[in-house]
Amino acid sequence: MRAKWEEFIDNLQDEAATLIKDDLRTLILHTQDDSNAFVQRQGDKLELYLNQLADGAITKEQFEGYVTDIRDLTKMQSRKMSVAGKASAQRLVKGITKLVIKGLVAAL
Amino acid sequence: MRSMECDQPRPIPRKPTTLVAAFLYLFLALSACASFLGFPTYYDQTTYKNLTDLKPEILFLYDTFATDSMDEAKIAAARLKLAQVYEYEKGKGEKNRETREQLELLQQMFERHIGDRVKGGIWTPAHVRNQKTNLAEAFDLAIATERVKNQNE
Repeated sequence: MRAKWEEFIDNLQDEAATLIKDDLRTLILHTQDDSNAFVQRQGDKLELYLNQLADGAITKEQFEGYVTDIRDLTKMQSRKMSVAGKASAQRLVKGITKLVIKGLVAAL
Repeated sequence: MRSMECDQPRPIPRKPTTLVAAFLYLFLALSACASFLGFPTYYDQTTYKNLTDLKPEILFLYDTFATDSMDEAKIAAARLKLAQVYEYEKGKGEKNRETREQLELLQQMFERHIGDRVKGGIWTPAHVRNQKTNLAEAFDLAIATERVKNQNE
């Protein structure tokens, strides 16, 4: 069964909209199937916004704003991942210093 | 008569220098990595509190955008607090780059939302919900980023 937003795009006369429909469907399906909870959530929101746009519950400008928000949230998520990776390496260095250099080697 | 065994010098007890040297090399390598990677700043309780305090304030402000009048004073106050939080994070230097950049993105999102209210008028219930969801998520990401940092023990 076709989603509401798919019917909405099908009914648009704009040829460009029809051309991107398949890519958009693939993008939404891929994000919703992603193992990462953040990516899944963005996929769900994108589908929600498209359905709201199809229903006339939001304007085109509001839709654009939400998509910009998703873009910026994704940038924020990448910063979080970067910090998590560095903090993990920091723990390793700290562990080696404390346990190996100060502990084990001193005991030898 | 002394035996041949006694004539030989007794071995001096030595630490396994090869092992020590190996660990020292490893430590030097990791220290070099540390400066190369630029480890992030440690977890900061003030940052955590600033973000968790500001999040509900702005979310409550967004609720008022569904009514006729806009409270300019409340918007200015929220804008000032966001700017203060940003300056606090910026002051920590390059090691805090990620959090500083997150705050920049948060400020931009907030300004975009304010601009939308000014230009687009009263927010519908669906619009309030969507805007609040995204702003709350932005704060949650910044808060979670602070939480993944190590404690300075």
